[in-house]
Amino acid sequence: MTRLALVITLILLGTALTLEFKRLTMKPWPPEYFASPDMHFKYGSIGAEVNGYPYLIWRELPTIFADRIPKGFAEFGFITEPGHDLPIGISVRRYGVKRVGFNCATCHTSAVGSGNSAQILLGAPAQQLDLQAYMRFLVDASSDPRLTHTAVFESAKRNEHPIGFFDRLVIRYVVFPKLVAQIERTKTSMAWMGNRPPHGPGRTDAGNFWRERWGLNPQADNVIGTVDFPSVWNQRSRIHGSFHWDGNNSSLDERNISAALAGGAAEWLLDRNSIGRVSNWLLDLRSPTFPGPIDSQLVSKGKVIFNRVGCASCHDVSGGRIGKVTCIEELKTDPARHDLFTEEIVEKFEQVGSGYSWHFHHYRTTEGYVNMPLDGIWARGPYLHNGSVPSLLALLSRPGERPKRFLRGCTNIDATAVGFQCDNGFEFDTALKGNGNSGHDYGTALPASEKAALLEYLKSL
Amino acid sequence: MNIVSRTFKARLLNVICALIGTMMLYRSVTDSSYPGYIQREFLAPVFLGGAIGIFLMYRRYRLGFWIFTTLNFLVGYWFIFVLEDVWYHHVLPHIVFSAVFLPFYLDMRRTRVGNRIREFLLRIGRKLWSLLSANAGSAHPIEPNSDVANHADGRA
Repeated sequence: MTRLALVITLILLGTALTLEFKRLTMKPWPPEYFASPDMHFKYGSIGAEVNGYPYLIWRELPTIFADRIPKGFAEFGFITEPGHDLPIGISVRRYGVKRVGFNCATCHTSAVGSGNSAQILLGAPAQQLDLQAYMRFLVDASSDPRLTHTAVFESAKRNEHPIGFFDRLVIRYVVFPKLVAQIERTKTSMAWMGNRPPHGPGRTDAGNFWRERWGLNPQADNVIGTVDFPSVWNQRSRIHGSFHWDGNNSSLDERNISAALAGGAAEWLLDRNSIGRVSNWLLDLRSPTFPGPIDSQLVSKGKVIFNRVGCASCHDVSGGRIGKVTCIEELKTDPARHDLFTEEIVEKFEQVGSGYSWHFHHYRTTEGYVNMPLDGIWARGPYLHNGSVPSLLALLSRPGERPKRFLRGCTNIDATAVGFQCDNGFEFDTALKGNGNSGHDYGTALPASEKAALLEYLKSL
Repeated sequence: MNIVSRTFKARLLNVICALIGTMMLYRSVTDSSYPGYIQREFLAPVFLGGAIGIFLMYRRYRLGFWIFTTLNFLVGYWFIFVLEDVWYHHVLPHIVFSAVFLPFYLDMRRTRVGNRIREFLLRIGRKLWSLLSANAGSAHPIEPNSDVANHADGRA
């Protein structure tokens, strides 16, 4: 073997080892497998941990910042089942190091009741979860001088979370130095939130997330797209309609992938297999039944009223308008979300996934908001696309008579007004931009007795 | 001019086989950890085949190089076109993984199975070539004064 051949061989070997090291540190490792689809929905990975918070640090944050989050991540509305370390909606997967990420259950699981009697509702809008507050906490905590590798190791020891020698080295010399840069990037990418009303629990502004991602400089304006999380059960009944509150996309796949990308997944590492598994399961996930007594006679009367006053034409499968868009001039609900979605945004969405078999090509602008089926509507409050009306009873009141301010983010059901009863939650102000509670005045002129019957029927859906 | 002994060269190949072979083995294990994800699980036996190819190279059989290289490029194709991963993450590594064994190729020996496969592939190659040649030979050249109905200059 000549000198040149030896040098070439060693260079090739070094390159091979470097490339493999790079792969091991940037590509996802196999996700934890859950045999049952509901467990996969709750804890499985959809590939959104790419830039996720390092798990070994994340799990110590409630201890290190016990003064700020005495109830741990439950402070933000995350639900933890007995016997599980991770809250529902949080997955862990190794991308170099173990990282936490969101999954579909993050925004689509809620609970009703409290304590031991709490009932978890899979596929329901996570109306109790303040995602923005959680993100802001992560950014603040990461910039806090109390968060050091020593604090993490001490907390792990106290909590009996053993950290191996190698992991200690990685946390100290790799993860922490990189965390600073990662959090700076996150802080910059969240700057636009400062110009807008807080989202509060159960809401998010995916539109501005995308605008920021595309470099449309959302921090320079105050365009708002904050909406409630929708329910995702019974997807089969929605499959031929349009998705998102303004009905801007008619493809279930694109809706799912865009949600995964908004949740932190990367185009080139999209876990379509996992997303597909959840999506198939959601097709036939039934909506939950109302957790209290229902007067069947009143339900029958309510059904007649539902059909008579025209609710069925937009909200019942038989009406033929499910999944279709009703124009904003007719609805008169808050236009902010509708106004955000311009032709420019459509053009940007057309570029998403370019070069991949799944690339987006179903986005469009619409004239208003989409007509939703009302399955499990009792668990989907507060109401309207922006969650500006606390209960169905309030929605059946004239817009001027609806509460101007109310609390949201609680889990106790108000069986009379049909919504969530909240004594200590986030104060929602309908006077703020994008939070308007006007419009959708259908049924507001009904007498009280008919409203009661209609509400009873709605509880039964 | 040779600057390393045959023993050193043989040991170097053994080390390379151990390193790259280990990579192929653990990738075979990790890719089998995707229950229900057939496109991903398909790669587990492919990587295992790669490890077997490397073992054959460790035993100094050229057949191992060809098995490894073929499966190597199959993995690259699979990642880029089926799993839709970024192409340059797969092209360069898979060229490098095979190329690192090239300086040792002449030190490996042929096997009877390898010879048969080689003969078989050559036969196919020859057949394809003769088919192509025959097709090329049967094509008629266009005559300048052929029977054309509509001449450009308006002649009938």
